[in-house]
Amino acid sequence: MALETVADYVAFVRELLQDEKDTPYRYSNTSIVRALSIAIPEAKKLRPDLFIGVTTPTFTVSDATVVPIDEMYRLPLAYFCVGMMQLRDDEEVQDQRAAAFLSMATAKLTTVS
Amino acid sequence: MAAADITRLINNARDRLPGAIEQAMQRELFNVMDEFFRGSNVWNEDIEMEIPGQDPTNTVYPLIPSTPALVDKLLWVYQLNPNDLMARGSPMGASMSVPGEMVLALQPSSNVPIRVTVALTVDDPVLRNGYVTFPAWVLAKYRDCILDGLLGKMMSQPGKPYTNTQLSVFHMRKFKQGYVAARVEWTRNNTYRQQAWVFPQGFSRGSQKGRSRWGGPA
Repeated sequence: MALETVADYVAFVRELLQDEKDTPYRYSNTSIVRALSIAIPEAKKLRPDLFIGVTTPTFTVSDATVVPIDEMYRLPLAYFCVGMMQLRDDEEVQDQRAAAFLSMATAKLTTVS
Repeated sequence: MAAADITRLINNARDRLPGAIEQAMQRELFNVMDEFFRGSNVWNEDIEMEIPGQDPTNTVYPLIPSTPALVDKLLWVYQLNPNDLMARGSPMGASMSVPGEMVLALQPSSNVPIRVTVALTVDDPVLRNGYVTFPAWVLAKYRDCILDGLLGKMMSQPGKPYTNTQLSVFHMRKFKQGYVAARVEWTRNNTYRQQAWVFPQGFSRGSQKGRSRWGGPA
């Protein structure tokens, strides 16, 4: 599954979060999509060149809307979303894991890693 | 889709710029070509026009290139030779304080056909695919120099996977050497072993550092 649309990102993030069974989901689609909307300006702050000629999008639903970012930099957005989910004050969440995903997102945007 | 020569340039740059995206390289390529043309003067165009004899002093004559380009420098103005035996007629004094607006030093009393030679540099709009437009022969002849400029400018961007200050300085130095060499070639019309005239040194009085200061145009 390639990371192309908002729904692709949500599905991939759920994989990393082990939250694929809708009984119901631990993390709602709305939360993940909101994290994706936050990830875009954060990425733009670090790498403005990735958004040349692109209007910064805001996503509201998990659908087939294309996320406008170069294919080399799709994984950092997903990592950022996972990190944001893990930042919640849940009993099963580890702060270190959240910090690790957010750091990986930054590192993948700015370094060859 | 870009032309084969531009594609080769971008692919060569991409090999050395991990994580660089095409749009960023396109923008820097515009800056590189602008610096290259301003520094080398190699992109010239002859603009022919007729100066009416009754125009008042300080009349502004617009210089409009035939392709999307910015007039960078007014190189020279010559009258067109009526009998066509010589390439050029008499030179005419002219200035261009505002790029693209020529003013003659002396207005002719009768109609005079002239040829204005200008040095051009790149300008918007770029092509639909995002690439800057300039003559293809420039990229063919100065490919290495342009690649150095592109690498140097890309590597100087902060906070990118391909940021490399040391290599940026190295490539920018090579780029500058390249366009300075291009300017020298341009002054010699790209002709092998055509050199600027210098006064025969056997007739020179004193050293070159002394008072005689003999020497032709560089």
